[in-house]
Amino acid sequence: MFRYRITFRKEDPARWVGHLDLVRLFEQALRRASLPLVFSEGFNPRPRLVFAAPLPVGVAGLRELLDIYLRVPVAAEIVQACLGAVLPEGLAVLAVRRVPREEPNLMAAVRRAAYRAEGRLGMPVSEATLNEAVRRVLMAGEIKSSRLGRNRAKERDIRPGIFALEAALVEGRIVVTMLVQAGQEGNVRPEEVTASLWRLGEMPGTPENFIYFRTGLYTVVGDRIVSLG
Amino acid sequence: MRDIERLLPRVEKPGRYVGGEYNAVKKNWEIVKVRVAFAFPDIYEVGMSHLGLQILYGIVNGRPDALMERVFAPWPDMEALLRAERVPLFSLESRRPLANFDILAFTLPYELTYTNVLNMLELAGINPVAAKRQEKEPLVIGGGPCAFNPEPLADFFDLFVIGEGEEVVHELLDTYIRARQEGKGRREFLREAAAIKGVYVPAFYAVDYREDGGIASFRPLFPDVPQKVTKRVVANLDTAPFPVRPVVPCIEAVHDRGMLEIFRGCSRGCRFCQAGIIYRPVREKTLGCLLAQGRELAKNTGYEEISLTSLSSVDYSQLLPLIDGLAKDFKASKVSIALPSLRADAFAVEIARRLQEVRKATLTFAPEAGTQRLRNVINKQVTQEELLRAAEAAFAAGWWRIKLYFMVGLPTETPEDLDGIVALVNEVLRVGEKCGVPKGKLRVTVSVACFVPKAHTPFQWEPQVSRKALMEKIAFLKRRLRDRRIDLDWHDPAMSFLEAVFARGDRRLGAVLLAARRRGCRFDGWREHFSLGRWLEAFGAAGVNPEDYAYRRYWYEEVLPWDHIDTGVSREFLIAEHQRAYREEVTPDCRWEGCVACGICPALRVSPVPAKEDGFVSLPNNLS
Repeated sequence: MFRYRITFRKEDPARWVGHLDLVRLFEQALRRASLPLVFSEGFNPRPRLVFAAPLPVGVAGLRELLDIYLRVPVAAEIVQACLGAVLPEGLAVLAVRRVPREEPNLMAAVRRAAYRAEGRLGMPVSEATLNEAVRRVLMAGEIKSSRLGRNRAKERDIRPGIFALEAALVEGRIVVTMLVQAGQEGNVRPEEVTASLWRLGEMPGTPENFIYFRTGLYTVVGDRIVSLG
Repeated sequence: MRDIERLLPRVEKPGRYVGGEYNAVKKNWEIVKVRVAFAFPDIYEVGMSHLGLQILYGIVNGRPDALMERVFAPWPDMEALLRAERVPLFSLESRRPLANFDILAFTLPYELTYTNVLNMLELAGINPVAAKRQEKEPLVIGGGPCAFNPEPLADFFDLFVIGEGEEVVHELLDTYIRARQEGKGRREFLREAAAIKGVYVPAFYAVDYREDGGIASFRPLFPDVPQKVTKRVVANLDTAPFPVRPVVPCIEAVHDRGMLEIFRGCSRGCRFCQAGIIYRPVREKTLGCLLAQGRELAKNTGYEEISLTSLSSVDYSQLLPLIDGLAKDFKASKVSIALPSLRADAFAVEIARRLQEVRKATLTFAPEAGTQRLRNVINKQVTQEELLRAAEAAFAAGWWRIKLYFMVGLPTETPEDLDGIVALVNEVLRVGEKCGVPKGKLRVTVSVACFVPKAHTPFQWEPQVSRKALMEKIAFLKRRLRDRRIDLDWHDPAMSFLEAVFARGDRRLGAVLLAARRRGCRFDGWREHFSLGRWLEAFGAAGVNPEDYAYRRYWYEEVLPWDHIDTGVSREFLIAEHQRAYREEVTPDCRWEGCVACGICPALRVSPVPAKEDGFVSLPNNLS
C-alpha cells in the first residue's frame, strides 16, 4: 500500500459543499482519475481516504489535506496530473507527495489550524478600536463560547485554543488572521473567535458577512508547530 | 451574483444553488444565438436524478449556436430569502435571472409539481399567464410525461413538446433562431412552431363546453394548425444521443448513481400504467452500444454505482451478457450495477444475486394487487406462486428484507382483494421463516399507493375511489398488518385525489392553479407542504368542483380533455383493454406472444426494436 498526501484548495463554488459530500466528490474524482485505489473491505467497499479535518460549509480552504492509498506506486506528479484534471469547479490540487505508510494518521495528527476572515464593515471601526479588541481577547483569562451540541448548547472555554490573533484594516475591509486549536480535541471554530473579538472589543455591528479561509493545517512536534502539507 | 453569495450562508443546503459540478457546461452568452434554461419544478436533489434533463442538456450544449443552463425549485428557506431580498430566481451556470433567457423549458414529471412551475415563474418575475407575457419575456415551454395531458397548464405555456425530445429539440431551436433572425415576433414564431410534428401550441385551439360541464368541441383556430398532435418517438436508440458525460451533482442526489438507459418503452400492458402507453414501442439498445456507453459513463462520472434504467429492466433481452460484460469492466474500480425495480420471479432474483456481489440493495417486487382476479383485471401478469418462489429465492440468497408494492382503489376491487394483500404479505413472512432468516432480521416493507386514473390508459375513464374510502382501505391494512416485522407506508389519499384531478383535468383548472398559488400552495408532492384545505379553498374560489374530475366516470362517447394528443395507441385498443379488464382477461406482451394491435406501429411507422437482430431471446428455462 502506498500513501500520498494531496494538498488542495476548496474555493467557490465548492466551498458550499459539506464535508460528507466532499468525501463522495473525491471518491468519484479518484475513480475518474483511474488511480489504482485501495478499497475498504465489506459489503460497501469505498476507496480508503483520510481527510485532515472537515471544513465547515461556506469556509474556503487554501491548503487542505487528504491522504489517499494506492495499491501500486505511481509517481506523485502523475497522481497530481490525473486527479487535477477531473475535479469539479472550485477544487484544485496544489501538491502531491509520497508519505511513509507508518507516519501517524493524518486526522489524528492535526493540532492547529490557521484561518483568515475577511469582511466589509457595516459600521466603521478605527484601527485603534480593532487593536484594543485583539488585545482584550488575548488578555482574557477565559472566553466562554457555546455551540449547539446534539441536544443542547454546550458551553466551553475557547481561550486556551487561541494561539495567535491579529486584525487589520485593508482598504476599508477588516482582515482577521488567527492560529487556533484544531483536530479531534478542543477544536476552535473561526467564527467563535471573530464573535469574541466583537463581543470583548465592544465593536459595533456583527461579523456576519465575513468570508472565512482556512490557510493551513499543522501538527505539534515538541514545542514546534509543523505544517502537515 | 454578489446578491446570491450573500444568501448562501443563510440556507440549509447552499450546494443546491451554486452549480460548478463536474461535467457542467458554461458557455459564452455572446456567441450563441439561443439561450435556454431547463427548469425542473422540484428541488435540485430530485431534478439531478432526472435522465431527461441530462439528455437535453447534452444535446443543446452540444450545439455551437445554443446553450442550456439549469434551474430547480428553490426550497422554502431560499424562496423566503429571494422574496425578502428581491433577488430574481437565477440559473446555476451563469447565475443570471431566468428572465434573461430566450426560452424557459420546464419538464413536467408529476402533477403535484404544477404549483412549483407557477411559483418559479413568479420568483423569476415572469408573468405566469402566457397571453399576458410581453414580447421580451422568455418563451415558456413544457415537456415530459405530464405534457400528455397538458390542458390544466394550457394558460401558462406557450407550447408543449409531446413525446421524446432528442430530435424535435433541434427542429424547435432551428425554427426559433430562424424566426428571430427574420425579426419575427412571438406569435409568428408560434405559428411556425405549431407546424413541427409533436409541438402543441395551446393558444391556437378553442374549447367549448356543454351545459353539463363536458367538452362540446375542441378545434384548431387556424387551418394550418393540426387537429391532433402526435407524439414524437425516436426510432432507434442506439444512434440517439445519450449523456455518457452527465453533470455529476456536488451534493448527494436522490438517485446518486449513473443512469444507463437500456431500453425505452414497456409492452407488459399494466392497465393503470401511463408510462406503458406513452413510451411505446419497446426499443432496446444493442449489447455493444450499452457496453460502450456503460464503460464511458462510469469513466466520466466516477459513480460507485451504475443503474440499468428502463421501465422494467429485467425484461431486457440481453441482460445476462450485459451484466457480465459490465461487471468485468467495473471489477477493478468496484463499481456496482443496480436494477431499479424487479419483476417478481426467480429469474429476477438470480440476477439480483449476481449483482449484489459488490453491494447489497433492497429487493423490491410489485404485485400491485392481492388476488389473481384483480391482477388479471389490471393485467399484472405475476402469479402468487411466482412471487413466493421469488421471495424464497431472495431469502435463500441471503436477503432479509423485501419490499412489496400494492395499489388500493383499483377498479373492481372488493374486500377479498384487500384480504389477499394481507394473506400475501403473511405468506412472504412465512417463506422467510421457512428459509431460516434470523429471528428479528426478517422484514417486509409494504408500500401502498392509491389508484389514480391517468390519461391515455385503459383506465382513463375510471373514477377514483373517494378519499374516505381510500383512507378506510389503508386503515384496514394498517389494522391487519400489525406485525413488528412489517413496515407499512402509504400514499396520502388527499394527494392522490389532487393528482387524479389534474391527471384528467382540462383548461378550467388553470384558474384553480392560480388561486392555489395565491394561497401559498407549492411543493404539493411533499407531505410537509401539502394542504388539502388550501386546495379546496382554491377550487371554491375558482368555482370548480374537483370531484367532477377525480370521482366522475368519463364516458366512451365524450370528448376527453386530452383527445387531441395522440400517443399512437388507438382509442379502440384502450376501449378493448378496458372491456377485457372487466372480463378479467389478460393481454399478453407483444414481445413474446405476437402483436396485440395497440396501433402504435402503423400509426407512428415504428416497430419494436429488439437488441438482437434475429428477434427477442427468451429467458433461460432453468431460471424463469
